Amino acid sequence: MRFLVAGGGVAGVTAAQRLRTAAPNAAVTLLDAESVPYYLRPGLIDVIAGRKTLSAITPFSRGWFRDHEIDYRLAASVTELDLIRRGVKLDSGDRFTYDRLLLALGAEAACPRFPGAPRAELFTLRSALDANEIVARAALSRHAVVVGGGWLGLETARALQTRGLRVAVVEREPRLLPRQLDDEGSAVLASVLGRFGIALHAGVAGLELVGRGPLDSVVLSTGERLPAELAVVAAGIRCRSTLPAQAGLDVARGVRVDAFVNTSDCSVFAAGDVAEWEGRVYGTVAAAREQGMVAAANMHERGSAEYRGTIPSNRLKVLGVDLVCAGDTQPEGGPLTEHRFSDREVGSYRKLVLYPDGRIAGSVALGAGAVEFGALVDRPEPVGDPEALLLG
Amino acid sequence: MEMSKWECTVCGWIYDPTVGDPTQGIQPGTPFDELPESWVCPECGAPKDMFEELG
Repeated sequence: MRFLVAGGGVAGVTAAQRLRTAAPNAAVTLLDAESVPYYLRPGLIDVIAGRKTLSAITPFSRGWFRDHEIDYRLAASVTELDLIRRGVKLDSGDRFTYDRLLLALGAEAACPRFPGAPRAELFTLRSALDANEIVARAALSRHAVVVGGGWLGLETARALQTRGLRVAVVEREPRLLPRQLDDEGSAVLASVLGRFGIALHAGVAGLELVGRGPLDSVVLSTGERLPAELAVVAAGIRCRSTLPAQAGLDVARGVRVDAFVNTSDCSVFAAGDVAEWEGRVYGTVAAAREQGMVAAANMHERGSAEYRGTIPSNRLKVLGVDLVCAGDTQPEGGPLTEHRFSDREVGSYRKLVLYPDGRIAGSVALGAGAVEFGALVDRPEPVGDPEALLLG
Repeated sequence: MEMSKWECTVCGWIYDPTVGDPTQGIQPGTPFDELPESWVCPECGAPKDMFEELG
């Protein structure tokens, strides 16, 4: 049996490891488009902050893959996929055939078009190469603007501020983390970040990158001018689904998979940021790993594992700020009830979203004790007194 | 005996043995040493050897 895994992020590496263990005699090939060995992507924030090197977030050497008899190819971008011949072609011209293929191609950073862009001082953050380029530019900069007030944008802002830059965050929606926080939660978070000197501009409809030659400022649609020699856009992800679509696979936003993470071709599976399951593209490490495990099980033995979804859980990995959002945090009507506690002075905010029977559907916690509070979402029993839990 | 907590050196996630890790089927009360070798940080994917014991 020849197993081929296209994509060397967490979904692909997890699947390759599982395939190796499950099928000791099978050939396992892992194609990674990046030129450096597998690293833990969330650690790139610390690389930007100057607190870690790339090697400190690289868990396995190339020798490790060799010892585990995984044929690991770096700088191996898939450019063609032939479902009938069951083969792929790389940009190097090399060809590989498979009995079972996993597409774990990941996603790219989305980058909306702005007036004055593209330019050399405007970056997105996705890969180790991106992180290195941002670090190099940051060394020549005193001010930075981060476009996007989501998880990655806020983490990037704090990382650049840690390096000594003056940082402003610009968000199109009227609040930060618009999918997880309500207005009050966003206001408390903004006041906490403001204490670090990070300026927040929410509800900004548009912006322009300005500077004769290199970038010198970002001008908002409100007319405000923010000095910036460096700009980073963190505006979400776009699945790398063009190649699978061209090959004839069923693709919506991502490559559509069933409960066995099988695509519309019975020999081809998909996992991680490229995969769409029941209309959802998760874009989280936890979901990518779980889908990678399910893929490996079913590639080895068809129908042996089912994917049932991943409870979304996000923690802001920002020095000095504890924020955890878990489960359904923004029900927007329906049978769920919401309970809140907020204290802007101390920078504390908590929210519980409950099912009608009292079980926890979601939670938001900002400030001391956030991690413990966030873990409550896994608790199966109903909550008797939500107000007491909020204050506890 | 009090079981110690362990912190992921990559993302700062903390393994608390009294909570376990329901996302990977780890029951509450499981000490860090008894986690399987295939267990990884639920948040960033770091393997066990990238964790440090909290004093």
